[in-house]
Amino acid sequence: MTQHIQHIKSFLCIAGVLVVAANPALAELRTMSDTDLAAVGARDGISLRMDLRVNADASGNPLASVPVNERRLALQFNNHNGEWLILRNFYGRLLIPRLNLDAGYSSGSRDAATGNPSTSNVPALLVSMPEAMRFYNITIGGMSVEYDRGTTDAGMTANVSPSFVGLKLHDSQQAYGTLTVTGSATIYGY
Amino acid sequence: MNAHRGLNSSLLRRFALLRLSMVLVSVMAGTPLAAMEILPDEQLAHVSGEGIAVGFHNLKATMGPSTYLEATGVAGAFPRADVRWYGISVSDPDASGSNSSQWNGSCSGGALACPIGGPIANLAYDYDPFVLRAFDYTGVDANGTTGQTRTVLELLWPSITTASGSFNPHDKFKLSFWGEIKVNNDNNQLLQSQTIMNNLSMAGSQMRIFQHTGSDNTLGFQSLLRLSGNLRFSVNQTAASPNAYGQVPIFAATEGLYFKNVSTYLPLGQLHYMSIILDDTVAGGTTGTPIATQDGDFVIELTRLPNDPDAYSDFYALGGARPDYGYRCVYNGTNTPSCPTVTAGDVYYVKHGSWRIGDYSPNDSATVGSSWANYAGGTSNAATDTNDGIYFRNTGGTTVNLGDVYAHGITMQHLKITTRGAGG
Repeated sequence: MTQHIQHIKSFLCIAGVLVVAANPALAELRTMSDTDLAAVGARDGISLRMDLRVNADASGNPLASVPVNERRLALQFNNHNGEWLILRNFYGRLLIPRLNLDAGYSSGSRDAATGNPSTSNVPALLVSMPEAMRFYNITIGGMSVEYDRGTTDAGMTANVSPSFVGLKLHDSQQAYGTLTVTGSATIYGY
Repeated sequence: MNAHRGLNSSLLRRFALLRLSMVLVSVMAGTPLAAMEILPDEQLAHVSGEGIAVGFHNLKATMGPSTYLEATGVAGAFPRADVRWYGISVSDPDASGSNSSQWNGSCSGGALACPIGGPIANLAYDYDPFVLRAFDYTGVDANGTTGQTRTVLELLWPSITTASGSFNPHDKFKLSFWGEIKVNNDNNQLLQSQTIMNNLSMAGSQMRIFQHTGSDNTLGFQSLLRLSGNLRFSVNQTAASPNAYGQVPIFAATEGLYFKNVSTYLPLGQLHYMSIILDDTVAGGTTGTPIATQDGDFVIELTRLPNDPDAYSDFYALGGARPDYGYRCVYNGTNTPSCPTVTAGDVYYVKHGSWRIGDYSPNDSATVGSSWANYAGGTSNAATDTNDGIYFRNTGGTTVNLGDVYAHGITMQHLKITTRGAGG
């Protein structure tokens, strides 16, 4: 059984390699043999850093190179042709310094045959975030409904209607807001 | 030997599940999938893809005390108001107060005296997890036609509501934030407040998205919200509190407006003919046609209950046995969970929306059609009661209890919210 757990951990290691495979500098990686893999513990799982900037610099301030009217997210719902919900002046930065992924088992599940809770465990992904997530000026300047008009004036680029509300995620005392999450999530499919 | 083979088969299935999970993670990470390994058919056969289950252990999620979500208004007919919700936190109720904190410092007393507790041992047990899945429900449509299928993407909260054997409902939690309203964009015109919701349970809540049909074939939502717990809303700050724009206040320990023993079931939408949809205020948008009134406003609407007896009679579920269109079709670990049937014998509050503050209520075991005598229940509150109902406490601890309230049999035929704030 211990050996099987180790196999699962080893697979996690492979997945980790796949995750970073997008980096061209790592293109030279060679395939590991089964013997090599068996020796890999991968006890630390995978740790990811995720950094998302939308129309923003490292401080989350809007990029001057993107005009205000271009910083938008336009949504159109089915059966509402010609009508757009516009999120105006949309910018900001979201940083997750560390997102840890590891393998393990659930601590009790429901029995597949009866539907009743049981204690048989299933392999699961364990997710935790040991460092606080950061919000830098994540902003929606205003929301508004716009309409297609004429044959060339598409609603998704229009700036005619007034806005009714704006939203912002930030901090009043420092350069970024934080969300600290302790504990872990157990994720499994069924 | 057979036993050994069985073990291997079981492990193979588990291994396949893990691979499925890893594929999901890779997608989330934005990794090109070209290099991903293809799952062999024999392994895929063990993965139903029914859904994703998530358990939470020792969870404590706290925004920084000065981190905020802000909604900004616009100047118009009313004074402009900007609203911030700071330090939104989810933590353990911590009744003893041994593990509690203020927004910016220590706190004793726990429960409703302190906004932040310790980690929640099991916000969702692995045997009763949050579930995100696609699912087909069959029911009656807006024309009263039975057997109509609706495909939904749904998020189910843990579903166990009463302890059974060694399995328990999810641990209750505390949800809190402090708020700030700035009037006329003036840093000196402020109202700072604190909201603490304690001993919360949302077991059995469900949220769905799907395509609404009938009045408007567009994106539809359904929310069946079950919520119970206690709530305190307070504004009084201590002498040491900065009481300034954007600075973390220190709130007094007991003052405030309290709601004890809140219990609500709010069904918003019926899966097959009544949905929450998003709309605009102006019909139009036809290419080449000028829009007469362009106010930019926005509509959130719970669509009308269809005027068809076959549909609305089904909605009220007052008759005999009938399918239970989704609200208790919860995760049970199988690939095809069966939905229970609503029967006349089911208790009234299971089938109808309700909203209760305090314990004075109809007998929870009263069923539809039972005599009125069965609806009596609960006790009246003393004028200074601090354990039940709605009451105010001042900073000196003097209490005025207003009593309990129960709104029973809530059914919304139509709800329409239109923003009227667009001003420039």
